[in-house]
Amino acid sequence: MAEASSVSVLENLMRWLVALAGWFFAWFMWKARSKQIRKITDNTEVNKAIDTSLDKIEKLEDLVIAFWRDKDGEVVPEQLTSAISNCAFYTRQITNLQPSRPFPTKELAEVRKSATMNMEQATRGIDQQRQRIGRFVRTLAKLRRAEVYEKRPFSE
Amino acid sequence: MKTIRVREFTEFPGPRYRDLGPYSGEEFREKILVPAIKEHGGNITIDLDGTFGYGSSFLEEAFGGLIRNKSITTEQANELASHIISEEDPSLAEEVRSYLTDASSNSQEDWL
Repeated sequence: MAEASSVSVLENLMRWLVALAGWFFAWFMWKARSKQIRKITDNTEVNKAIDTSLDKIEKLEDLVIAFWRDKDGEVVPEQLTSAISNCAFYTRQITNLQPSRPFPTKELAEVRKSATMNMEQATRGIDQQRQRIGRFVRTLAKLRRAEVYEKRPFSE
Repeated sequence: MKTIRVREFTEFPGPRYRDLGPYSGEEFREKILVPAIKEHGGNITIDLDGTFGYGSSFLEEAFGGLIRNKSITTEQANELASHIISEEDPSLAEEVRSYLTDASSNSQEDWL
């Protein structure tokens, strides 16, 4: 009688242990999946911010080239400073989302210098500013290749 | 330590010289920076945030001009260079530091 009772206790205990292990496994899987989803979401957000930043850089390129190339163009100096400020703002969004990515401090400073130094008084026009446009395009290419704009594949 | 916020001078920093337009780098240097340096030396923090963007001419004239006009000693310039802040765009602080620590500060002539 006592033997049957102890078997039943053991059986119950085993059932509870199996149930607990099941719950633990389900909880563990749920946690792992949530973490993975969060990582995918973060990666998507970062990639979106990179796309936006690269788009702003492209717009900046068009604007700066038009400003310096066209002697009597319609682009005004304030558009250049504002466009560079936009690039900095959207690049900051990337580094805010993923602080391990370094802000391209030197590259952006060089871009600003080549685009805006003496923009209010220097003579515009392709003949006078060919060198500056060349320098600007080179600094911008360097900025585009900065680590912060690199898209990385999603990894577990 | 005194903190100078450029946005309190203007949200729209202008050109290099006064005669080129309002809120120029020259005006900022003469009205704000030089008096503050006379009072506090290099012990000033410059906060560049809160504006709608800077042209390099403004930055070069305001800060590089301090060196050219001998309004600041090399020691004060080095001290000031370590107190330039911009959370929004760290490249601004980097650029200003380069003007303050570039003793010759003739960089603006290369672009004319």
